[in-house]
Order: sequence, then structure tokens, then C-alpha cells
Amino acid sequence: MYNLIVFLVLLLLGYGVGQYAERRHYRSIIEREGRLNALPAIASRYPPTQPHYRQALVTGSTVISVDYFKRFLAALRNLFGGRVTSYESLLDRARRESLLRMKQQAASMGAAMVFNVKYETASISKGRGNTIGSIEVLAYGTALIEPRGQ
Amino acid sequence: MKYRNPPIPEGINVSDRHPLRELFVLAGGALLLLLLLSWLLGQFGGRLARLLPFEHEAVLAPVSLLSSDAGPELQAYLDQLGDRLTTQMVLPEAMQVHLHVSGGDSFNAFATLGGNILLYRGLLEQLPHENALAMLLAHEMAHIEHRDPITGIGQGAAIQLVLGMLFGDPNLGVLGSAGLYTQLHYTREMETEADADALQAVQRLYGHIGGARELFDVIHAQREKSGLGEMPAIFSSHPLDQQRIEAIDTLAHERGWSKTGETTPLPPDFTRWIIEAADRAKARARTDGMIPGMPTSPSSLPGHPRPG
Amino acid sequence: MLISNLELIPGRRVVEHLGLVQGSSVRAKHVGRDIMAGLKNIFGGELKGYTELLQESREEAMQRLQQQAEAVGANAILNVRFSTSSVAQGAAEIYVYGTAVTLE
Repeated sequence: MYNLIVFLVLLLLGYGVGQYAERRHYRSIIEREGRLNALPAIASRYPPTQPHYRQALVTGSTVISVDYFKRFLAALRNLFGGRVTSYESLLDRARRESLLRMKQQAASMGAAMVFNVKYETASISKGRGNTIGSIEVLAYGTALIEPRGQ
Repeated sequence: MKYRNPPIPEGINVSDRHPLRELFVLAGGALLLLLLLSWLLGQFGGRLARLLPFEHEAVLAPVSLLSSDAGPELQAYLDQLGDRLTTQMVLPEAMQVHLHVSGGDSFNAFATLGGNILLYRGLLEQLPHENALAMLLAHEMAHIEHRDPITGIGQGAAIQLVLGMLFGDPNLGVLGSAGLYTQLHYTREMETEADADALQAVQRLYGHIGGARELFDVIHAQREKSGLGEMPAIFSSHPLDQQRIEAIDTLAHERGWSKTGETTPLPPDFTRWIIEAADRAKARARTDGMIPGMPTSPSSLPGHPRPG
Repeated sequence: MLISNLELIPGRRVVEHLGLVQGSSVRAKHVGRDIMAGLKNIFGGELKGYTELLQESREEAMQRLQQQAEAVGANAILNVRFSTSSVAQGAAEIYVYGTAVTLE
């Protein structure tokens, strides 16, 4: 009985705090995406050769953890199959955040655009049992920096 | 070559299903599945367990828990009453019933593997006359005749093993003797059928069922006294006392058994024997260092000892 | 919508790049597939259940990719890359991304 109460409390906490944190995070992401809109990130491999840009590798990474509520939903999903909607928003946030951080790094270098953007997703810290506790997304690309004096 | 960055609308890579709704749907489905699985496993395990021949049950019996605090006179009296009942019940040859008495305080009695029945002093001293005692013994013997102990264990063990394998940590200790003791769990159907068979045996022995019904009054009175009250029937594996009395009344009415008749009194030394058994239990407790069978709360009975 | 993992489409010119578009899908297997996979562990062979699962997942991810590209007004997606990762026990994420472009 005691275990059930603890479980329900954790679930509620996970849901409440998780949803709040997620909304806040999304607001921040959308706002920053607006600000960094001028800096395009392209997945293409052939950058423009003129003007003669300087190049630098830029990266941005995020590790986002699952909350109790999401993990429980995913475990239930495992029984019936189908889309694990609780993880979709998690990964979406992680990716966009990583991209923004990469862009921020590029912007701080004075880049005009970032080319050959690639993503890597990995799972960090397997939690209790075999469930994965957190997810890391790495976004990296080559920043094309305006040559000095222009 | 132009490089633009038009904003991408939200919601393409994210589903807008509300998480709480999903939780309820999934959890409800999972719970349903679990109940169905448990029920299926119980049925399967019970049936499988019944295939075990009765003679082999004795190997699994929790002998260490079957105390014998009864003096020779009490044991002889119980044995002869038991024999008279088994004759009426026509138990198979291979089934030998062994009666044990514990001097413990508990208001309980149960039947376990190998034809062993344990009766507690706390219950014996409340019985008003022999008819009630006979009903009690017959009820426990009916459980043995129906092979309820091994069925109950089979059901419980099957559920625990498979669910344990599914969710990790299968508890194989379920087959140890302690596990057996706690696995003793009878369903309502088992209890009702045991009641019916016991009633028939008592009717054959005494010619009426008057005193037998009083057993349930005694149980009910004890439950009221202990303040436990009665849980809604759906939550208890025990049919409520009122339902049991109604059930046996209906049965008696169908078969045309008489509900009134002279009750046979217990032997005059019965109270003394009980007290002697209690003393023996206390002495044993002092030497052993533990008092088996003396939980503070009386469990619902006759039937299964509640674990813990 | 032209989806290709080529950098340059021969015969067509890229008019403008419209940024990175992505599609992702996380799917879980269910107990039935799990049990079959367990059996296959003994006998070996292709895990058809899982193949189907990942196939469906990939299709959904591609669909979402297209949706994003349409939303930014592109008519082709170039340099498409796939990425598969396991994000939870029993669930895999398929992630597709590429550059949305306007081809002439």
C-alpha cells in the first residue's frame, strides 16, 4: 500500500513538474529560434566558395532526462505497441536545443551560416531496470565565418 | 544561391494527444490484461496442482508449523469425532486426516497439505457444543477432500512465478515451506462447497443441522467483538457470514434437513483440556523462544490463515 | 516532393535553401513481437516483427519530414540522412533530416 502511494506521488510530480518544465523550455526554444533565424543551418555538404569564408567546427549538445511520468507511459506503451508520444516531445526539444546551441556558438564566432549539419543521438545513464534515464543529442556542423575586414 | 530560414510550424514532430488521457487508456488496458492473465494462470495452476497424488502432498506439508499441544485425552476425543465424520464423508482410502491442536490464542483453524488440520485454542474455547465443533472439523475435512490446499498453492504459485518472470524477480521461494504457509488461499467457491459438504456430513451424523449453524454465529460474534467488521464481499475471499448462513439454510431447505434438534454437549473435561493445551503452548514458547500461532488479530475463518 | 540523399540533382538547379527540416518517430514494440523475438533468439532468423515496426516508423518519420518541408514552401529535400537510436527499453527512434530546397 505504501509503495503504491509513493508511486502515485512520483507520477504526479513527474507529470506536473515535467509538463511545466516542458512548456517553459518550448517557449525559450521558440524565442531563441526567432532570434537566430538569420543564421541558416544547412545539411548540404557543398558550401558556396565565394566569398572566401573561414571555417570552424561548431557543436551543440543537450542531455535531457525523462521524467517519471513519461517513463511510466513508455513502459505501458511497450505492452501494446504504437507511438510513444511521451518521448516525441522529449527528443524534439533535445534536438532543437542542440541546434540552437550550435547556432549560438557559430553566431558568437561571427558566422554567416552553418553547413553540413549532422545529428547524433545517444542514450546516457541507463536508469533502474533497463530503462534509459536520459538522452543526449549532439548537433555539429561547419560554421562559415565572414572573412575579416568585410 | 539564397539561404533562408522560414519558421517551421509546431506540432509536426510532436503528437498532441493529452498525456493524461493516454495514461488512463493504457493503464486501464494494462490492468485488465493483468487481471485476465492472473485469472487464467490461477485456473491453470490449480488444475495442474490437483494432478499431484495425495500421498505426495505430505512431503510438502509445513510440518514445523503443526504444533501438537493437545493432551492425550483431547487428542483421542478429537480423533474419534474426526473418524465418525470421515466415515460419513466417505473420504478416499488414501486420504488420512491428522488433527493438531495449537494452544495459541488465535481464533482460527485451517487445513493444509497432507491431510493436516490445525485447530487453535482461541477458537476451540468459544465453541458452545459438539455440533459446532463437528461442523468445524467437517468443513476442514471437506477442504482436504476437495484437495483445496494443493489447488490454492498451485494457483498462487503459478501467478507469482509467471508474473515474477514478466516483471523481473521471480520468487522461487514460493515453493519453500514458509511460502507454502502464506500461499494457503481459498476462493469463495471453495469455501461455499466446503460448507455444503460439511453440512451434509453433520446432518448424517446428528440427524439435524441445528448446532452446526451456530458455528457461524460464533464466528460472527467474534468478528464483531474484535471490531473488524465485515468488508464488502467482493474484497474478501470469504463469503460473508450472513451469506454463508443463508447458503446453508437454502441447502437444508432443499434437502429437507431439520434445523432444530438436540445439540450434543462437549465432554465435561473439554475446558480443562483446552487450558492444558494453552499451558503446554506457553511452556513450549518459553523453551522455543517464539509463540507460533498467536497473532494479535483474529482472522476470518474457518479457512485460511491470513499471512502476516 | 522530391526526396533524395544526393547533394546535387543533375539537370536541376537549386534556387534557394530553406533550412533544415526533420521528421522523427518513436515507436514501441508490443508484447507479441517481444515473445516472437524471444523465440527467434533460440532459432535464429529474421525478426520480421521488428523489421515491420521499424519500417512503419521510418515511413511515419518521412511523412513528417515532408510535412515540414511543405510548411516552409520547399519542393525538394536534399541530402537526406537517417539516424536510428534506442531511446527507451523496447522503443526505437527513427530520425530523418535534410535540407529543404526550392529546385527550379
